[in-house]
Formats: sequence, C-alpha cells, structure tokens
Amino acid sequence: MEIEIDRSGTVDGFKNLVANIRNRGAKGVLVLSADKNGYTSENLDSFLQNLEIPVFGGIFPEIIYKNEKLDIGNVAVGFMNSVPTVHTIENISDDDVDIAEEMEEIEEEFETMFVFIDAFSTSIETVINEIYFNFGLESNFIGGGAGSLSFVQKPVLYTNSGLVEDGVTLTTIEEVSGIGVKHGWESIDGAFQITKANKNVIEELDYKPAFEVYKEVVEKHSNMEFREDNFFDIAKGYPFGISKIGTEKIVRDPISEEGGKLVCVGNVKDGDYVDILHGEKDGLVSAVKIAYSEGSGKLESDVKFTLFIDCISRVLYLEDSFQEELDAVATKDSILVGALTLGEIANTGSDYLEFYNKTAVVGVF
Amino acid sequence: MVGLEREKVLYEISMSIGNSLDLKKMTKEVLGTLLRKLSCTSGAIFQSSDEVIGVEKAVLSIPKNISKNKDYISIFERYRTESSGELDGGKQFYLLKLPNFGYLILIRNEELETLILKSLTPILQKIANSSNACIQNSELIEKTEQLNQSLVEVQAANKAKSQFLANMSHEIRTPLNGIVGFLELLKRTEPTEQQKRYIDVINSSSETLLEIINDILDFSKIEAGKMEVEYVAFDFIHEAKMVFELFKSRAKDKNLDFFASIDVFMPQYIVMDKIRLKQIFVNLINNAIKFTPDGSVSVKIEVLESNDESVTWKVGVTDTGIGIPEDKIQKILEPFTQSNNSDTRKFGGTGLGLSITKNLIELMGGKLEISSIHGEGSTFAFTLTSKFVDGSEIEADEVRTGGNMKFHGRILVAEDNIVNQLLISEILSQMDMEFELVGNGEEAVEEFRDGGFDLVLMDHNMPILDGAGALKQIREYEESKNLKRTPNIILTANALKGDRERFISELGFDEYLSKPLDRIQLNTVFKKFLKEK
Repeated sequence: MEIEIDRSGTVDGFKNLVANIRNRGAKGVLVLSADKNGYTSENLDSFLQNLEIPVFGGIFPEIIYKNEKLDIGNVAVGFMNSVPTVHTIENISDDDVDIAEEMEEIEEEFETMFVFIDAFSTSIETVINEIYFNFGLESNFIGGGAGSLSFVQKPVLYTNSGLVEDGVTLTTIEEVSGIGVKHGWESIDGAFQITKANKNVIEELDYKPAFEVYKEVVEKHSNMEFREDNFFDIAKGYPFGISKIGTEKIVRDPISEEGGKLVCVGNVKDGDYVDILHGEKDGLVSAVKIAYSEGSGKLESDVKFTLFIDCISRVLYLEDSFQEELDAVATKDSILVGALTLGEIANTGSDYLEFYNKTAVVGVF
Repeated sequence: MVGLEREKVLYEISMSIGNSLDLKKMTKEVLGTLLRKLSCTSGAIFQSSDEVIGVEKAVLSIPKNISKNKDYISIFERYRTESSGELDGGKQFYLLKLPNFGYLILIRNEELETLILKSLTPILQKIANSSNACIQNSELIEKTEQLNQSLVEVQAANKAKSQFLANMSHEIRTPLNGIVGFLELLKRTEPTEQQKRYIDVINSSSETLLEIINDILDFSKIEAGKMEVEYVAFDFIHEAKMVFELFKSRAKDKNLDFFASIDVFMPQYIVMDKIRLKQIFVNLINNAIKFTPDGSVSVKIEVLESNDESVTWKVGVTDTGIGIPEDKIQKILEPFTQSNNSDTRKFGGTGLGLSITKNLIELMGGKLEISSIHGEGSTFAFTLTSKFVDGSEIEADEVRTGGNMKFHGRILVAEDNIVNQLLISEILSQMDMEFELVGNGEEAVEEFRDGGFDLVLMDHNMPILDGAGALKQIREYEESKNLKRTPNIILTANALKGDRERFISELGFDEYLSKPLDRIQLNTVFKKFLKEK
C-alpha cells in the first residue's frame, strides 16, 4: 500500500493527491478527508466520475496521519497489489431500498471489507445486521460513520459516481488484516431498562423520562450541573453501555437532549438494559494500546500499515491527552493513517459485527 | 458473569422472540439477538421433524451460506453423537434442541457458562413454539390465498358464463329481428283469416322468445354489475293504468278477478327509470296471473310518506295462487329458479324474472318482500322513494314520434345480412325514401364517394370492412374534399349499456339505432337529421 498526504484541503489538493497515487500505479484508492475542507458534490463529482480506478472513503470530522490529527487536508491509501471492489448502496434510509438484496451481488470470499457509512442515515443497524447475515465473521470488517460535527447531513462518501449522501460503501480487498476493538469505558451505575425507544432516541429509562434518570446519576458523579447550553460538554464523559455476554459493553453516545429524550449515535432497542459509563483518561489510552496489540497479534507478518478508526468524541473528551492515544498506535515501523469518525464499525473476528460509539478500532495490514 | 448481567441478557433475548409471524423474519431477529448477546460467531436454526439436520433443513443461518463452511460440515458429521464440542481453531459448538421443531446451533470462540446454557432451556421452548406458530400462520395464509384464487376462478367462470349468455342472446336477436319485422310487413299484405291466426301464433312465439332473450341480457348486465337505472320524469299514473289495462284483459282470459288501486295522494309525475319500473310491474303482475289458477290478483299502490319534494310509496301485488313453501321463498329469488322444477314444465319461463325484478328494485333503492302461504297465495311488495314534479316540467320527451311522417333525402344503407337488408328496404320503401343498399363497408365507402347521400345507415359487423372502418374512410374523404359532414347512423344488435356511448363518443357516429329496427326510432333519427316533407 502507498500513502500520500495533502495538507492544503483544497479541491486541487484533493485532485493532485489522487492523481499522484494513481500515477504511482495504484489499482484503487481510499481517501480520508477532513470536514473543514468544505468539499461538495459540485467540487468533486466530475473528477470522481472520470477517475479510472475504484475510489472509496469519505469526509470525517478530522483525519489522522502518522501521530498527528488534522482538521484540514486529505490522506490517500493506494492499493498496489489488487483491485478493490467497491459496492455502493444509496438511499439506505428509504424503506423501499432492499439492503439485503443489494448485498446479494457482493462476492462472499474476501479477506477484508471496508465499511464507510453516512453517520446520519437512519438504517445503520439494518446495514450492519445485513453485512453480518451475509458474510458472517470469516472475514474482517473495518470502517466508520462519515459526516460533519455540525450534525448536518450532506454527501460525504467517495464513490466513482461522485459524493454520496445517505449511503454505504462496502469495499472488499484481498489483503489480510488484523482488527482490535476496545473502548475502556467502565460502568458507574445501572442497569437501567430502556422502556421506550425510537431508533436512535432513548425516550424512557425504567418508565421515567430518560434525561431525568441520566441527569441524576451523572450530576452526582461529575459534581457538575446540566444547563441549557452544556449538555454535550458533560455527556461526552458519560456514555451508555449495552450489555453483551463475554465482551465489553457496546457504547452509545448521547449527543443531545430534546424534551427529556436522549438522542444517541446509533440505534437502541426497547427492552435492552443499559449502564451509564465513565472513563478515566488512563483507562481509555490503555484500551487503545490493547486494541493495537490485539490487532497486530492476529497478523502473522509484520505490520506495514495501520488504519486507525477512532471516535471523534474521544478526542473531545480526552482533549490534549488524545495525543497519547495516537502515540500508542503510531510506531516507527509502520505508517499510520486514520479517521476520527461518528461511530465505528468493526468485528474482532470473534463476535458480532457492531456499530460502536466512543471506541477505538485498529486495523493492521 | 454476574447473575444480574445474565438475567438482563436472557431477558433481552426472550424479548426478541415472536415479534413476527413470518418465520424468516422472526428467526432472523431471534438468531441475530442470540448471537449478538451471547457473543457468538455463527449460528443456525434447523427445522427437522426426523432429528436429521443438514444444510437443506436450515431455516436460517448466519452467515447466510454455510454449505462450504468447515465448522458446519464438521458439526453435520458429529451431531448424532455430540451435542457440543470443539471445532478447528478452538471454537466451540452447541447443538440445542428446539422441542417439536428442530435444532439451534451456536458457534462461539469460547465455551458458554453452564448456567447460561441451562438458562436457555425456556428460551428454546419459546423459539420452538413461536416457529411452529409462524408455520401454522403461513399455512393459513397459503390456504386463504388458495381460497381467494378459487374465488377469482369461480368469478371468472361466472363472468365467462354471463358473457356467453350475452353473446348467445345477441346472436339470437339478429335473426329474430328479421322474423318480427317481416311479421309486421306480412300483416299488411291482406292475409286470409287462417293466415292471420298463424301470424298471431308466430308473433306471440316471437314475442315470448324476445322476452326470454331480453331477460337473459338483463341478467347478464346485472351479473356483470353493468345494469344502471336512468331517472326521468314521467306520468306515473298514466303508465300504471296502461299496465293494469293490459293485465286486466289477460286476467279475464284466465277467468281471474283483477283489482288495482292507486292511492289518491300518489303524485301523477315522478322521477324514476320508467322502463325499468314498468318492467318490475309487468314481471310481478305477470307472475301473479301465471301462478294463479283461480281467484284473484290485486295490485295496490299506497303512499306511506311524502314531503315537498319526494314521496315514499309501496306496491303490493297479491294473488290467490299456488303460493310458495316457506323454505323456498328465498330460493325463488335466485336466478334460473322456480319453487318447484315441475313448475317450469307447467308454467314455463326461465326463472330469471324475479331475480331481475329483485335486482332492479334494489338498484332503485328498495327491497322486494315476499309473504306467502303454500296453496293459498302470495304477496310481493316493494317500497320506493322518488322525487315528484309538476306536470309542466314534462316536456318534449313525452311527445311521440312516428306515424306517417315523410322526409326529404337519399339514404345509403350498408348491411350484410340479407334478411335485414330486405327488412330495411321494406321500411324505407314504405316511408317513400330513396336509398342505395350495399353489403359491406368497402362498398359503402365506394358508393359514398359517388356522392349524393344525405344520411348513412351503417351496420357494424360486416365482412371486408366493418362499420367503424368504413366511417373512418368516409370522414377522411369528406375532409379531403372539404365536404359537409354527412350524418352516419350505426345500426347494431349490440344492445348492452355503454354501446351507444362507445359508438358515438369513441367511434364518431352521429346516432345509434339498436336492432330489431324500430320504425319509431328511425322516424326520430330522420327527424333529427333530415327535412320533413
């Protein structure tokens, strides 16, 4: 794999970056771009449509290059040995689109699948379930939610048809990978039963308005008080955790409060039990180290390239300490690139494919 | 794992069971939740009544394709002797029985706690019950679909039958047209007394045949849902009295007393379908006379209620006839039914009249009620509500058109049927009309081009070129020569509702005449398009 970086974040910077990779003989390209670049369909569609090699990736709140996080610019990963196969499903939130049928067309035999999805689609869980139903866990999966921290939905996925909104790209490659997933958040209270939920909104916990229950626990633990303007400042340190047997809880990040209901990134279900989690900075950073060693432990050869998919809300929570996370993954022997995403997608090869929040996913190749 | 955590997870799994009655959908939710909550790498549900499992018995598996999956290949070889065990790479499999349904296989990287495995027992029973409910539901849906399909087929067969009856009636009406028409002409040739009697017999038989055919056509229209009523204002009292007069003489012929009374408050002019209302009266009174060997038949029309605009009135036709057994009262309303098969032989008729009458009354918003004592007599009654109007509102539509009217003009007649040709020729000759006769549409176009016609009478079903095709060419010719549009009248034995609209609006004819050809209708059309002499 060949890596190129563009720090300008301009449209020309993007075009030159991709052209350089293609000229170096890449058979396909993954591009990770920062939201601040301000790319639109008008800027890029024509260029993407005329590109002779498969392209995928997307626009994320921030991107990673070596041990640096960039809020402007692009990184490109060129695939030199085999041609990646990109399958795009558009309008996934539309009930008339049969996601299962769309997936029928994808070859079942592959080593690794990259999954990039519009983080503001309402059918993320359906897509994730269908991937698992179709392909199981024989292969590795890595990816995340693309989008802007402004929470405004817009075209964010790169495809050879142009930028796509409300879609998912499923890209298969014949490169062997090792995946590690860890978040490091621990339970401080629970379990609370979700007694009323609607897709990604928790309306009631234990038959009470969700925010009422959440507020009581979090204010007591944090010694801070929720006001009208500081919900996410406090909530970023107190996500929900959904129980599973034999593995870490699945984190659900509450991003806003609307009339006593809590809006999360990722679906929640009626009847599920959740704990309220909290993380110490050291615990979160050490979780990333574990994720890296889990991933690299599964790879029989030396790590040449690391793809780090980390949650943007970990950056917002860890602030300056986030650099420690990057340092934990960046090694001098391999190149690190990545994206700070709105939700992470991965399987560790041992359990159910999930759409995570506030979680570090490390893929090594 | 702590007990509370285990209970939470098991609760969540149990909540995923039975949320759909579609087996695929239900098992997908259950298996997905099981694998997710128990951190399994793969799983499958098998439906097996004979305790044999294999790819072909999988209701659902995750991943979807397990036919080449080495874990499952290994399990299929071992399941008869092992209900759990280790697979390649250290993975564990668990074969769990779904009572009275089949099996569940779970594959996991690590062993499941015994307590969890044991706690799954009631959940497995629930999954089995729910799966069986899904299967029963799908069988029920399949049976319902089969029944619906059968119903569609029966309805289609019924429709085909009605269509056949309509076609057959149409075919019979054409030659009958010739018979009735020529009988009328024959009467004018000063026949001998004996010939007159014979003519009367033929005439009576033809009329009976025409009645039967009309009944069948009406019945076909009712069956096809195409029967409609046409509301016009007319002199109800006059029409009712006409009907009574007709039946008074028929009753007298059978030595029956006939009584008829009309409520003095019954308005003279009402808005109703005159023809259909008359048909109802005729059917009911005709039946009463037919099935009454001695005694009387009485008709009573009484007003039940009225306001400024409408009147609700009841008609009762009572006879002292053979009556109807109680258990047959509803049955006689079914088509082709009389109370006793021997009645058909004795009294004749198709058994359609009462069914048509009932339907016509219902179309007008009423209901036919029957009360009868077998051997003593019957009463057939119905109640209708109709608007009434002032006599001055009845205008020209009541003016009769006919008699010995004469017209200027030259007529082109296109008709392939020889009998009909003769009939039309006779009628037109008697009217002193000048006309040319051709046998098909092509000849009609040629003749028309020679010019000089003021009106065209065009049959529809003709060889070489039909009426519609001929009209099209005539119109094109007129346009190319900038000629005035010549009235083209379609003559057809197609007498179903909607035909008139089709021929005039869709095919472009100027007027429509149905066969058997009626001289009064012909006079009306000529009056519309030609100058009177």
